[in-house]
Amino acid sequence: MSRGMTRRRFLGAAGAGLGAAALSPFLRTLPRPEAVLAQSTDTLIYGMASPFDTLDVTTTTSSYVGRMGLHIVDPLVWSVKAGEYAPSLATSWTVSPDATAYTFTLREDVKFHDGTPLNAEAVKVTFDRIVDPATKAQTAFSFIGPYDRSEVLGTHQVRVRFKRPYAAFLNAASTPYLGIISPTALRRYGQDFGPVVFVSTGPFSIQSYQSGQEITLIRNINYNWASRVHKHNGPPYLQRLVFRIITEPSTRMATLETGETHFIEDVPPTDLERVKRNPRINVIEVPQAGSGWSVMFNQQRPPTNELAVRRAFQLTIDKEGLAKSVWSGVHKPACSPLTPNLFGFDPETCKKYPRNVDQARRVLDEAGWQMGPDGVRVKGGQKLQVNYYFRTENPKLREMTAFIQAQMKPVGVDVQLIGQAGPAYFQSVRTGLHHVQYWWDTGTDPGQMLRILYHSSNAGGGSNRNNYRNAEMDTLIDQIGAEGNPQKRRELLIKAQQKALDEQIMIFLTDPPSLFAHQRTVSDIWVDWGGLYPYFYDTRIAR
Amino acid sequence: MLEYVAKRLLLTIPTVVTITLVVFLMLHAVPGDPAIIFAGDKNVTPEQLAVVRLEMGLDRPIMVQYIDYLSRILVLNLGRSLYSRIPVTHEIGNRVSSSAELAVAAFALASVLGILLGVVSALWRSSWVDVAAMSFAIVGVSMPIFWLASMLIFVFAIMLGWFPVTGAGGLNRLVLPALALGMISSATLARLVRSSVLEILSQPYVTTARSKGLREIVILTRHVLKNAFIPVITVMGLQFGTLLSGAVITETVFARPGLGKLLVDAILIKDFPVIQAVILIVSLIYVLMNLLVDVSYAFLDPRIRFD
Repeated sequence: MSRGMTRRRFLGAAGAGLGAAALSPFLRTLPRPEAVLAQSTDTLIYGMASPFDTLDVTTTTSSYVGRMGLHIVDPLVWSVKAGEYAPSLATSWTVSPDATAYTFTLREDVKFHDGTPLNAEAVKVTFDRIVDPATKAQTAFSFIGPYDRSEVLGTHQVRVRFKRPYAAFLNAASTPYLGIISPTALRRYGQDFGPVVFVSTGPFSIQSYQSGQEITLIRNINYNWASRVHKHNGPPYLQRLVFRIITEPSTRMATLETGETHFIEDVPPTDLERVKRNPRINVIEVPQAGSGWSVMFNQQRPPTNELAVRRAFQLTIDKEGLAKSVWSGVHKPACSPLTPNLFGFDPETCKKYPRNVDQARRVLDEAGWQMGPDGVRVKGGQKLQVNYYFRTENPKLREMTAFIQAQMKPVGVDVQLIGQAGPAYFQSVRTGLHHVQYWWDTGTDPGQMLRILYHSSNAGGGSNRNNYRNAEMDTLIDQIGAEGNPQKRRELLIKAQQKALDEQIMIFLTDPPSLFAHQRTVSDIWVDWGGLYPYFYDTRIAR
Repeated sequence: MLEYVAKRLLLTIPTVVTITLVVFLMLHAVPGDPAIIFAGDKNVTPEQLAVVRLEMGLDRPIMVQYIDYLSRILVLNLGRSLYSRIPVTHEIGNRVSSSAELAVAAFALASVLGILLGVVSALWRSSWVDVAAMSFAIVGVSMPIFWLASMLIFVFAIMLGWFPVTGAGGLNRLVLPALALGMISSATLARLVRSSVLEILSQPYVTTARSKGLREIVILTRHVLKNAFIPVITVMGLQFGTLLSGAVITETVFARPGLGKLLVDAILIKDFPVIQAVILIVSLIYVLMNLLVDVSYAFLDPRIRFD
């Protein structure tokens, strides 16, 4: 062989090599529940903003799984508005006077996607699994609260008992995270239940799933147990519901404009005005329930352990300006740890410590922080310097921090910007290296919100990165969790909000709306009052 | 020639074994206890850690663990992702084909465009063709890929509506990402090809060939290009590996699944089984590319075979 390979053969061989690399010895067909086939009608494509961990709503940490999962599960009850519930899987329920036991009567005609009938035992299996440490449930674990056990009273009657009074359980049971799963499927799929399969009772079941890319739901043709909250009963109008993960906001927006997606979540605020002008697109804007963008001060580390320093931030920062310049005026200035649509929100919080830069200077003067020659205040040889930690993945955080830095400078506070990527950031703030860091959360139970932010059990590495420990506040939060009487609960909530403000544990910057956008051809999208879950059960697509 | 290829092939074996060793040792080399890394961020009791150690076999001698690791690789058992609990082979399988598709398309585009521009600008050196081609190359080298990608989406998807914005599968979904990724590598290649061709053009044997009265086209293909391509092919080989595993930005902007994005996401959440598996696969692809590059040297320059 004089010339060895010819060029063509060389290229052919190279091609075969590449082919072999591309070929899929890795591809493995995974078991999945029998696809429910029906006459093909409409497919709605949903532009999803984030990849997620698992298909299993009862173990996930991701609110995106909640949004998707609500279509695959049915909650025990539906939340109509704050504190008001309608039947779903449960036709009726009673709550013991001390809020430690909830008795649910279940519908008798409900079947899981694999054909297993829904019964009280399934509820028990689902809830017991959530609290089993081996399950490593996250969001659901916090929602199930002080769960003790479930008692099967009859085929379709179950009593859920708690170790302590738990007034917010109906709210928890209205979220997708406590959706009921098929015990048969759980046994059958073992380790793959959650990562690759998920079987429940909802109007859609999973047809296919490519992690990090796309999940296709297909309608459940046997579905005949819709809550009266919705417009119809029977199978959904949509044939398929495809959740396509498109993390880049401008790309997600572009897919809506080209018609590749019908619906997108998390519309970038900067694009909002432009999208609203598009005659083919409709925007859904719902104030988001939870706790808006806020600043957590580390109460254990000087100088943010001083009330005067924290108060100076509150009196100086122009929340309105921040909402306008960073969030394009889409967010509203925030007042309280609770968003205004949550039960028990105290409107007085907006008037309590209004912006007053001169007063901020006085507060610092009185606390002994004297203006230094370089424009930074000093006390006892120590400069008034705070380390502001933020995650670099979200560019908005850098913008907010730069805004705050610029505002605090004339008052004599030197704000150091410390941007870090995910793992490094969590390492820093969990060990308490920060003076200041951000928080933002969604949720419909005010008691739970306050617990996340202020309860001492969440301090020292948990969600209470204020590292705030206060016995009186703990008692208040525990009382709120136990109080079933709405009037008393409201009073306790107001007390806790006032206390949080008086001690200036945090600053509340802006309350964001949930921003969704869809093609005008898509109609009848239901969104819950908290703006957390767009729901496509009644949805149709016009041609 | 066959003997040479066989020799090169045999030489890859120690490389591959070394790679598996390094990938295996990665977990033991990073600071911290592997059991704690696997247990995740949550608070764990010493008993739970002991269970994790037992499950992972961390209590056994390291050589035994390594041999166990090798035997698992051979049966394609790479464990499960710590984050999604999905088998790693499945996670990778979902992405390999789309990454390969994009890499091949971008590579083809980069090669054709890069070589063409490089050769043309070398042949017509200092003419307007050269200036135009090299201006393109400078713009291409300096252009941030996310900007180019966004512009391509704006023009070809939103304004003209010719191609879809996102996704994998189907030729029309491949065009924009391949353009974004390929154009930028073509610029690098064009500059390299130009300088390499210019160097060969000044060699005495080219003058000899001309004085023999050979036609320009024969001189170009037989004498100039073949010799100019040795450095070019080295770079092309490396670039293919980069296109395959380093297309993170392209994959993010066009919402395409891919190995690069999988790796970066896994690093951000310390998903060790995934990190190990992707690094292993990407390294193997580099080994394969190097092998192809070496073989192509021998094809281009017979002297190399006898070294």
